[in-house]
Amino acid sequence: MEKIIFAGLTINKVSIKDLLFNKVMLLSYILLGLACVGILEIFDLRYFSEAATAHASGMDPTNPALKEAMKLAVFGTVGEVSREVPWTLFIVNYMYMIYTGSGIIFLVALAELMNMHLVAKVAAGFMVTGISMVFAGLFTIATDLNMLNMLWMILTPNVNTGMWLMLPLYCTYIPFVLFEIYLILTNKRELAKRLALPILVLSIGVDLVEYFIQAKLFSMNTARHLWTEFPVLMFYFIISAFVSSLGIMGVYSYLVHKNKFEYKELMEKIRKAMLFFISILAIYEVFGYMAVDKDWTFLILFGPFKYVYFLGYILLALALPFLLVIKPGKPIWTLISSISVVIGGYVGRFLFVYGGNANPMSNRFGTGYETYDFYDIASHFNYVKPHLGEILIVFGSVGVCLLIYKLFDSLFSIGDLREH
Amino acid sequence: MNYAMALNYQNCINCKACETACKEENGVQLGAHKQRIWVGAVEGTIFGKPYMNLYPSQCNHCINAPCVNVCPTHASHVVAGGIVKVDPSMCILCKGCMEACPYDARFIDDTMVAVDKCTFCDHRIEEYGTTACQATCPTKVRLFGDLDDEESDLVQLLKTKRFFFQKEKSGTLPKLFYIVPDDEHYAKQSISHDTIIHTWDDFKPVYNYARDLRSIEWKR
Amino acid sequence: MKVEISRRRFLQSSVALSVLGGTVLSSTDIMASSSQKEKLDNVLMKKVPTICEMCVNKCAVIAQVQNGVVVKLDPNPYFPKSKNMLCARGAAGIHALYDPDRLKYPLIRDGERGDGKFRRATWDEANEYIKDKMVKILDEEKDNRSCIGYCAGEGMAEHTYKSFMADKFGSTNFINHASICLQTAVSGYALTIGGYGQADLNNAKYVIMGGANRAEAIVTPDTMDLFKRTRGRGTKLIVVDPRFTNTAAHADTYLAIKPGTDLAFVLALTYQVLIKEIYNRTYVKNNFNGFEEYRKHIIESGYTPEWAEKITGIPAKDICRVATEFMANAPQSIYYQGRRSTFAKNDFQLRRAQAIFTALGGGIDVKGGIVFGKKLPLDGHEINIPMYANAKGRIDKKAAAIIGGSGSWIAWRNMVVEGTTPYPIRGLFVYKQNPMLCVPNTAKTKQMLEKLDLVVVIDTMPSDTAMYADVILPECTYLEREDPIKSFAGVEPSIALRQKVIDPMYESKPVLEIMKGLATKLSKPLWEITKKYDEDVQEELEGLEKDESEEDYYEENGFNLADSFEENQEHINEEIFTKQYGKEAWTLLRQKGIFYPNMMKNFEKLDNNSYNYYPEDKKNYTVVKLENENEAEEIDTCVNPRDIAEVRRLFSTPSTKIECVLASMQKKGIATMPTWIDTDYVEVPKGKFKFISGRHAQFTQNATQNNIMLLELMNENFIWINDKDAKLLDIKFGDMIEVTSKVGQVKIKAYPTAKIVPNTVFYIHGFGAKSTGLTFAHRNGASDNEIIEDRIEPVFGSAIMHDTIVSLRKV
Repeated sequence: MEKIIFAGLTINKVSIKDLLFNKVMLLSYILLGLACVGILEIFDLRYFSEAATAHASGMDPTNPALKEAMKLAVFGTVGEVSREVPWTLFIVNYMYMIYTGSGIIFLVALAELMNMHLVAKVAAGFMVTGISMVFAGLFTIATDLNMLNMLWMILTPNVNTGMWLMLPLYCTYIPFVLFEIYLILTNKRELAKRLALPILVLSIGVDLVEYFIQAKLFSMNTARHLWTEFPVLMFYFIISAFVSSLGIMGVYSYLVHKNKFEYKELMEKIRKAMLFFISILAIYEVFGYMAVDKDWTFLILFGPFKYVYFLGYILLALALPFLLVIKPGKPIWTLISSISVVIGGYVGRFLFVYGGNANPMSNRFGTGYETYDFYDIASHFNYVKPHLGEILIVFGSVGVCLLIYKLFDSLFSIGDLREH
Repeated sequence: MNYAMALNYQNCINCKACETACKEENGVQLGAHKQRIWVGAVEGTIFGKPYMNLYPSQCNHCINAPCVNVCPTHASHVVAGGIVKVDPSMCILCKGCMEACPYDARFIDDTMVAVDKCTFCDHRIEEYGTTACQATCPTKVRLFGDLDDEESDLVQLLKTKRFFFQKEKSGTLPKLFYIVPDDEHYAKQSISHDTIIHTWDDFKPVYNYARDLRSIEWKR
Repeated sequence: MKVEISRRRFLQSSVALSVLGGTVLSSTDIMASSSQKEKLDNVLMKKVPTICEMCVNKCAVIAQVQNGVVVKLDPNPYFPKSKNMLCARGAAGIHALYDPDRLKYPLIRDGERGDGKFRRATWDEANEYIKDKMVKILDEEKDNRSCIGYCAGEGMAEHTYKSFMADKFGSTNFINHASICLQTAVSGYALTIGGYGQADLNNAKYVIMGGANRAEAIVTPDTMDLFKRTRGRGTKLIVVDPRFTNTAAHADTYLAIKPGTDLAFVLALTYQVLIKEIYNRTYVKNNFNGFEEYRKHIIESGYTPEWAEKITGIPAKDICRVATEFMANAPQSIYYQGRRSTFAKNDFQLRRAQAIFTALGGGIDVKGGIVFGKKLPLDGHEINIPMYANAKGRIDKKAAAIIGGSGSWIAWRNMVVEGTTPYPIRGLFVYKQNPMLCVPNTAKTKQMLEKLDLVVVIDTMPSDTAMYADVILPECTYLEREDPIKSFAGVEPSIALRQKVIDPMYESKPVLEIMKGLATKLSKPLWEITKKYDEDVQEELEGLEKDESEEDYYEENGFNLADSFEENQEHINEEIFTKQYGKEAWTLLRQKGIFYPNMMKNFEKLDNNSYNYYPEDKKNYTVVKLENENEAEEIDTCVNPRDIAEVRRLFSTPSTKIECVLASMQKKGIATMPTWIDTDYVEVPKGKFKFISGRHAQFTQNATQNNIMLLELMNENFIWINDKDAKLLDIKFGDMIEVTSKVGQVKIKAYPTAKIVPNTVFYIHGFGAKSTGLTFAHRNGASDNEIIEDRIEPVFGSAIMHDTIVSLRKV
């Protein structure tokens, strides 16, 4: 293929057709299409719900639209957000995408620091996968927030909050990682070599800060004891992210490198890393729940979430992969383990967010869960099914990930091995 | 000025007069879950005999409000008088405040696409001296007033009665004072054994300290 | 954007606008600068004191009007009766005013009766229609005015309507809602102690409430006083009820009782008190008539606590304890009168027994007991009442032992349905009432309405009854009219005035104007009918003096039906009030909405929760005339409440004493003394349930069934079933249950709970409307009267509400 050299980068000369309409891009368009449908549904619920206030009838009592809105208010449900479970699939998805993406970048940096040359050779692909996932996560947040008022984040910031700190964090993090990728791709090897170590160290530093801020975001929520009492939440996020990241890396390696010579060795490295981190995560799970408020622990371990926890998370993210990677063997085992961990990791994030909201806040006095309506039974467990729109947006975020990755790949062939 | 409310909840008959008055006074969105204030009921049986605890409640306007602490744009802020309010034009719907509030006091107002909650009726304090819910209650459960005003009915009441808070261990320093019922039997039935009972003397220094610390941030 | 009005507030405040504005503005500031907006608000804000009409209590309200829109209803602190409170229904009055389904203009039936098809008409058209029909009917009935019946629900304007139908039009067939309400309770007390009175719950030390539910059927000031003093703060409350109501939750003792057995409980209490001789002997000696006979009757009948335990399910030791405690706290002990509908066949005897029991403690006409209070005088509005010779007496005269002007709803209706009326009943006027939902056995009410030739409904909402009308006349709500001034009796009496807050909306009118319009239309045509058939009038017209014209006779003798509606209500009120209290007081009344003597001097705000109205020495606890006037001075200086109680009084009874024996009842076949008759009690067959009804604090009967603000609090009714019974039938919360009785069937969701006694089911009254005109109430929940059997108690013909047996089936 013809190449163009520009600013130290070797760019593939691809036709618009190849750039925008190859198979992966088409797939991502379909997924993005689903996301658009989801966004329409969510925005309709959020901005255009038939909602009426107590003062509305005084102004125009006979308005038929008002009558409908009143009927909906009393006999149906209005609006997007549930009071009991405000953080839903959006948060689960953003957690998964961003933490896993950052985890990949973190792991690559660590591997390079430990002089694993093989990983250094395939770093480009992993890094771009990582940053694509981060973008996918940010895309999810963007659809979750009310972007109309975003200007206030800059005008009147509250710099002590985890939520706000994410703004400067990603404004710094993304350019930084893009610069790292540039260093990997550039043919100005001298520059790259000189900057390598400081950038690496900075990278690890920034990653740690990132996980610290994410942990701060959750642990500042005094109400949800699952998040505030989980021991060293930052560490938990890192370890659990690493497990999923290794899963993504395993699947990626299969998809992109399976025909390469280095495939077996790469998978072996991933296997070892996975074994290590799964073991730590398993120990963490055991001790973690011992520290958490029993109201939450019971709901997750012995209550309505127990099947999801044991079959969806423990089995898929820990038990099965552990059995598959404990002995060195064919890469296929690592691959299966990777797939299992990717799914299990998602379930883990789901449990974290939904589990944190599962214990109702209505036990305000320690005497039992309150009912607010005369004809009602006290709820011991809060769970709200995600809207269809949210699920479609999750698919869409995968589309975003594929789109960004493929753009990079088409332009820079990041799937190739590079000497570092 | 530090506004608070005492609730003599043993009087409550769950008539929902307060809920309706609040909705009408503040033009709150219609809907059973769109409540700024509510009465929670805990029912059960003891040896087959039914019992009912009624707990009127609302936003606690905490001095160390976690909702204010987590709001990225300061949409959730405290105004003069220690009242926690939300500016809907600044709310980015991150829902962090809803997650942070231990009392489930907040909800989304779909007509404003922002978070909404009790405001201690701050628009009518000057004229009426009190909130809509306090004024309308048939059995006079609530008493609204200024903690810093030694002459106010609220302080006079708190000096003579013992009280407790909701979820005190969450460290939010709430300002809804639940008066311990005179009847021992009902007190035992409606207060859990690990709730800390306070008197004015032991609580005031802590609150003064916290108030002095946080009131620098109270705007307008 | 689908919904335009006031909804998209967020667009007002979006960042785009504020950035354009260049400064940091909040949403409320967007429209105008804050100080400007405040000024605007003050100019356009009006506060009008008025009286609430959402239930019978008539609490005082201050309505806030902004730009001609009522935005808030606040309590008015000046009223001693409602003491600065407004319940959920009061606050939701705004949504009765702005209800989207409200009747807006007169309607005339345009199809078969009951299919709900109406055509819009002008007031003139509607009145013309009524006139044509009435002329035809009265011509056929030879001017028997009583062939048109009329009924009304309670309201401050009810009197205006009644004065037209009874006094001017001349019908004797008034079916008062009292017979589906507290007629029996009131009469039971009135015949025994000379009046119904009010319970002084502000000072009582011991209160027994049998079936009364002050926490949910809010009554001022009872509800307000009671719950501040229970739980060790001065009052001991004993609640006797088949349900663990919210009132029972506040009680010091809750006694679960089988429905319909209250009389056995009271008789056992009486027995205990008589046997142990712990009643107030001095009081009995001074103030009781027929005591010895009564005592003999109670003891010989063997109404022991053990006997009562078998019938009621209340342990005998509890009955003994309650009896002892009651008398220990007397005379500040009250067996609360109760103010609801009749529970069972023996209700009259029950209320009598309650009254006698309270009197045994001496707690009548004393502080802390049942007090009669005083009423500030106000003259009535004079009406020139014509005499109609052909107007026959009411048809249900013989339906029960004592049928007064109120009649018996069920007996009256059933006579019309069965065709057993002494003369034809051709029409019915309905004001502010919804018989389809509020009278037992809805199927028969439907039949009655279908049989009539003319049904006119005056209402604010298109209720189920309105759907069966020939003509529907829209009345305006209470916020749109001035009503007759009213004097409220009590310990702290006062006068309250309902003032118009905003002008009537759409084409609605206050009932005064409706009656005026109708009267004007009907007067002359009906006069012609009278002249044609009324022999007395014919005679008098023949004997007229030369200078007296027929027109003069017509005017002087009240045959001009519109003459009592000439003046507007405000004028009438001013005349009546200033006559007694003067012009200055009138200005004060209009300003504050309330008046009582020395109000501005004595009214005091102690804190946001307590107010003083009358000084303690001016409160009217003891008002009954004493036999010996000299003792009045002694009473003032008395310290011991017992001494005050024991003084011999002249009660408003035939013997001026507490009547234990009502000899006059004997010839009517009614027991002269409270007696338990086993055959009167309705047993519950195995596998079936007894159905009882009642209230919640968020609704007033069925009047609020379409009120969106209240439906938000509770959007449908559920049937209460004992949780153990539910388990046997495999019924869980929310399951749909089919409830069948002898007269009807409904479907309703289940609420299994420990709060109701076994073999009994309950759901609240006021739901289950079938009217297609009510968007929110249409087929929402279930109506109790659809399944309640139409039995009446034998003394006054009141509807028995709690004797219906039902079977349940899960669907």
